[in-house]
Amino acid sequence: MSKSKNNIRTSSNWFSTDLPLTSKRVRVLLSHAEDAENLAESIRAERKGEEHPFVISEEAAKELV
Amino acid sequence: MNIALSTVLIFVFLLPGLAFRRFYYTEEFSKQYFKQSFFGVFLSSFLPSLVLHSVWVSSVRIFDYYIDFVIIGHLISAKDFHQASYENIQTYLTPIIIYNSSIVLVAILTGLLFKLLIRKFKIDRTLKIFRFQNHWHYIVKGEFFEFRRASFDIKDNVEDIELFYIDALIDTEEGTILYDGFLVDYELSSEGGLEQISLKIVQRRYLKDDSKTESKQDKYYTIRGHILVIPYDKIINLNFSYYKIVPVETTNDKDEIIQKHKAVLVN
Repeated sequence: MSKSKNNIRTSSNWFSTDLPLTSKRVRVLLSHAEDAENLAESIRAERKGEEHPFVISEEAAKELV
Repeated sequence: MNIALSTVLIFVFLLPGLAFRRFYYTEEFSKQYFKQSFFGVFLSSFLPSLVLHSVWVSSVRIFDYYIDFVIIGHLISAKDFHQASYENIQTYLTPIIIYNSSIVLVAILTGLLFKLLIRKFKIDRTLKIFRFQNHWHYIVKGEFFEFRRASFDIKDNVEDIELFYIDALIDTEEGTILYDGFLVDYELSSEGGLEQISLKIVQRRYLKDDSKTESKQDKYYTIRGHILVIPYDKIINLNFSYYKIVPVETTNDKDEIIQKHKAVLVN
């Protein structure tokens, strides 16, 4: 996945300056149970000094194109 | 002095300032609008009103009108019924309505524009005088990293933060519990503090189990559900971790390129 708008929280506009709590990519991942679990595992592994790389599911990847 | 009429005129005078304030404190900072004292509200409404009225009083001359302060003085202070003043209002009712409508409309747009500029150019992060009183916003969103008084910097931009991971220590009758999960929402109280936080993909463990169980993973219990709402009054403390997602490796599996990702702390 390339560096794109998916990776950042959207910027301010005339009617909204309140950035969302997650980037578009994370929002999509959290919307898919399997991806959400993988992401949580990745964070929990990182906190233990381990690695838990994950592959984004096809469904989620389609939404991020 | 006609107190009722004086009050109405003072309200009309302050209306642009009130509109400015209402639209300056919107969204994440809307609680601040209701939080200030009467004197604070008066002062923060008076100054924008004074500026806007000064501009409008000068501008109406372009259209061959002028503001007759003598009539305004009569309406505020006259003990007796002053017919000429009321007749003047009746005669110029349409321009008076246009004057007040346009000034309120511009006040609304100015309030929105000022807030947008202060947030867009991060002026509230660098100059404390422009900082909003919602300090939880700056902590939750990681914006405090850009404060002048910040004790350490991060190499990444605050906008690079993709998700917020929370450890919340909760006091219950059965003991102290540690919850961790993705922060997906938070609500502020009317006093400006936190009211509640909402977590997703949550697991918990009792701290008292730390000495009993050898395996760390055994201590955790996964909580199934969409979101877990924790009231702030039950929280002893919160640990915030700011993460981004980075690609780690690309593998070629049966002619299909698969990219793996992992979550890392912003640094």
